Order: sequence, then C-alpha cells, then structure tokens
Amino acid sequence: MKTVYVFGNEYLTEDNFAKEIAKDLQDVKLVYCTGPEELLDKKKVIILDVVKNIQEPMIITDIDQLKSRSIVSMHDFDVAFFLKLLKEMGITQTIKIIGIPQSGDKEKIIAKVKSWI
Amino acid sequence: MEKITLNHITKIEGHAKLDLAVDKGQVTKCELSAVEGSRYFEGLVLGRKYFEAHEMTSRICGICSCAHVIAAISAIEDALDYKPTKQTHELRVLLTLGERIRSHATHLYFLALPDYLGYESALAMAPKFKKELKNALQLMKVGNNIVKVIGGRDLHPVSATIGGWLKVPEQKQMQELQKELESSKEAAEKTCNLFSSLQYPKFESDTEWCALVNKNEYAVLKGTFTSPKGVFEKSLYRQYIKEYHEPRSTANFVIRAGHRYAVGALSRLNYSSQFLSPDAKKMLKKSKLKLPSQNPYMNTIAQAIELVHCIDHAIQICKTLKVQKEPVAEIKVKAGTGIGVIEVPRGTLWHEYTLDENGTITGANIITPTAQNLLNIQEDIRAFVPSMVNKKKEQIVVEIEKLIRSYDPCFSCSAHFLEVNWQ
Repeated sequence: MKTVYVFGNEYLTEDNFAKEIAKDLQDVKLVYCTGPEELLDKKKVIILDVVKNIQEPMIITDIDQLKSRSIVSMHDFDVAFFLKLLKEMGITQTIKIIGIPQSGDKEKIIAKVKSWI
Repeated sequence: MEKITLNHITKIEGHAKLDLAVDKGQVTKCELSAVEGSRYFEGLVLGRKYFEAHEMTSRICGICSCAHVIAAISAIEDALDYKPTKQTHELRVLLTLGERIRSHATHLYFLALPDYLGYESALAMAPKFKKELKNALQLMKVGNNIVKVIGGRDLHPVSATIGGWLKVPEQKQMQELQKELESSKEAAEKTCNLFSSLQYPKFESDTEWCALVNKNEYAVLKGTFTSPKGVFEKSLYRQYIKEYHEPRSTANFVIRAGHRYAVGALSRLNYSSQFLSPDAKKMLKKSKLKLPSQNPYMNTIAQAIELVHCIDHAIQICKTLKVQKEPVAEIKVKAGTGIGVIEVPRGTLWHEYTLDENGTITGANIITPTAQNLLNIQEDIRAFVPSMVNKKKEQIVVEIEKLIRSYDPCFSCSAHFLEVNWQ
C-alpha cells in the first residue's frame, strides 16, 4: 500500500484543503504531518499539500521548484527547506508532491489526486 | 571612524539591532536592542481565568512553547498551593527535556555550526557534512517525538494542564520513546565530539552566571536561583532581579543586584556538572570546556554536552516511570500570587501570576532567558570588539554574530534579523 504524507494546518482554511481531500482517499496509508521529520529515511515520498495561487492540481517532482530561503531562524525549518537539505546531502529520495489549490471542486480534485497516486 | 551598515545578519531568533561606534580602537557606542514588535502577553492574560495562562503564553514562541506552558502551570499551581504528583512532575520534566533536545540540536547544527565551518548556511554545507546533518535531523526528530507523545502535539502542547495531565502516554509509547532515545545517543555523543573539535575565540566575559541549582540533581523544574554572589528563593525574585526599559528596545533589560548576568547551558554546567549523567560527564571530560568557564562561546559546547545528558535523563524517565491514569486534581481556587521558575533551552524562565478569589488573573510578569542575557550580550560585544579592530570589517561582523549566537538568543520571545549600524 502506498503512503501519502499529508501536510497542512487544519485550523487555517487556506491551508487545510489537503487534509479534507485526504479523508476521501482509499487504499492508501495516510500520514498527517506536522513537521518534515516524518520524511527522514523515506526513499519514496508522496506528499499532498496545498499550493498557493494555482487553480488546478499539479505534480512537482523537482524540489528546486519549491520556494524556500536559507534558514535564518528555527522558525524557517519548513518542508521545502528540509527536502532541499536532503537533496544537498545526497540522500536520494523520489519525491512526488501533489499540489492542490487552496479550494475548489472537491470531487474533481480527488479524482485527479487518485489518478496521480 | 569607520562605518558599516549590515541589515540582515541571520541565524538568531527574532529581530534585533546593534548600534556600534568605534573610534581609535575604542567602542564609543554599543547598543543592542530587540526591535521585535511588542508582544503584550502579560497584558493579554489579565482578566482571563487561571487555567488559560499556559495556553495563552505558549504562543510567545513556537520554539519554546513547552517551556512557557510548564512555567505558567507551575506559577498558577504555586499561587493555588498545589503540589503536583510525582508522575505529573516527571512527565513535565520529560516534556521539557524533549523540547531542549530539539532546540539545542537545531541551534547547534543550523544556526551555530555554519559559522565555525565557514559556510553561509546549513544548506551550503550539506554536501560535505551529510553525516553530521543526519545526526542533527535524528536528534531533532527524537526531541520532536517526545514533545508530540507527551504534549499531545509537536508545538504548543495541549495535554499539560493545571493539576496534572489531560492525557498521559501509554506505557508502550514510553517504551518506543526509550528505544528511539537509545538509538539517538550516538548522534548526541558525535555532536559533542564535533563541537569540541571546533576552534573558539578566547574571551572571558565579566559576567555573573546564574542558574537554578538543585542539591540533588541537574535542575530542570526545581531549584534555587543561584549566582556567584549567593542564592535567593523565588518568592524574593523582585528584590534581586530588576527589569528596566530602554526606549530603543521592545524587550526589557534585566539586572541582578545592579549587575548584568547570564543564563543558559553554560551557567547550568558551571553549577551542576556533578549531576550530569555518567556519559555526559565523559563527554565533558573529553571536551575543550573547562569548568567553571567565563567564555560565552563555550555555551555551544555546553549545549552539546546537555544533549547527551538530556537523552540519558529522558531514557531514565521512560524506563522507570510506570504511567498510571491519574485524574486531573480538583484544586480549590483562591486569591494569591505564584511564581514558576524553570530551566529551559536558553536559560532560566520566570512566570509570575496574581489571582483574585475567583481565579481571575490580575497580575502577570514573564522574564525570558534572552531578556536576562540581553545586557550581557551587549556588554560582551563592547568588551570584545577592541580586540578585533585590526581585522577586516566583514570579519568583525562575523565574530560579533558568532558571539551573539553563542548565547542562542530568542528575540521572538525578543530577532530573525540583526541590523548592525556601525558608525
């Protein structure tokens, strides 16, 4: 069974859509993540998360597409930084990030996400 | 008189500014200020109920939210004359140890280490220092898992409450934590070896190191505030510790009996190294740190040694504590004032609350470790800069940053960026 790592803050309407969508995914193991450490030592990673300013779901496999800045404080230790760090460390991971809009037609998005998992 | 303006010095917590003027090798102006927006937490809790203080003050900082939760709970329980059960106490210690492991590992590897290895950031050093960064991530993960299991989530814990725990971990979870801690011990020891192999500037701070000291153990939640000049009970803290405001800074400055002082891992080791775990003592002996130390740069090694100790202490709790379901104590509400003083990653943290007869908060005072260290950092910079006047400006700025970072300041609880205006 494939594992999907779901990110997002359930208390923020602009950030909780991935969790909403994940509820309706079947035949996958869902891991709800509050930090990036869950991804350590995982060779194959499928992430479901919301992406700002997109209208349709998208797949990101090149983590250089992710926007992040150098860590300037402990507060900046986010998923993008973490994934880039692992890449720079030479830790091979196959990453598939399924990015979904912050809101939209749930059924259509679920169908798309299922087809990409 | 040379002028340097540096707007973005990174890798500290929160926002701070340094105004420095050097004329003919003499520092004529040295003013370190927190420029973080005022937080008003002590005002926000006024009028709220006694059981809300820890949830609200947790939001002072995501990095040390457990610290504020436990300090606030301790203060409220003190006001209500309630003594927690042994299990409650032990679980609170475990929660704060988890937070300290996470915080120290992050600070050491991601904020301090790039300075010493000559890199701009951890990302830049990643290709060459893969093993070291893996150790960092492992340590951060185990610290995080402790907080998650004991506190109910990895930030702003929800399980701890006045009078006990809303939820206690299953024994199986404690066993799993123990295993994870045991497998992380080597990473902590390697961290000690790594940080002991680095070259640190020679500098003696004219400061008074202060920490909670407990005559039976390495103080975490229980101890007496101790300085080289003596000790005082927490109830007397307002007589000895004075906060004052500088208009340029949004954080208060703090002095003890009229003098600057410092808190943190090095302070704790200066007083309590005899209570370190046997393996932490071994690491101390092997290290460059010779105690007592007046060199603030050594705070970095001290944090690494504490990593080993905290892991050992956490293992011991996970191994020996037989977790029982205990109902949260029903505590009779009454008027009173209580003080919670505990050791947290960056030093001693004070919370004080006054309650009326209905349990409404009518007074609050919070003194963070960084506020206590602020004046000291400033005065250390003033004392250190003259020894570097022949260096290039860039190098001097790097050295000042290293000095500031060695204190692991958290300007969010007072700086994401330090702005240096050098005249």
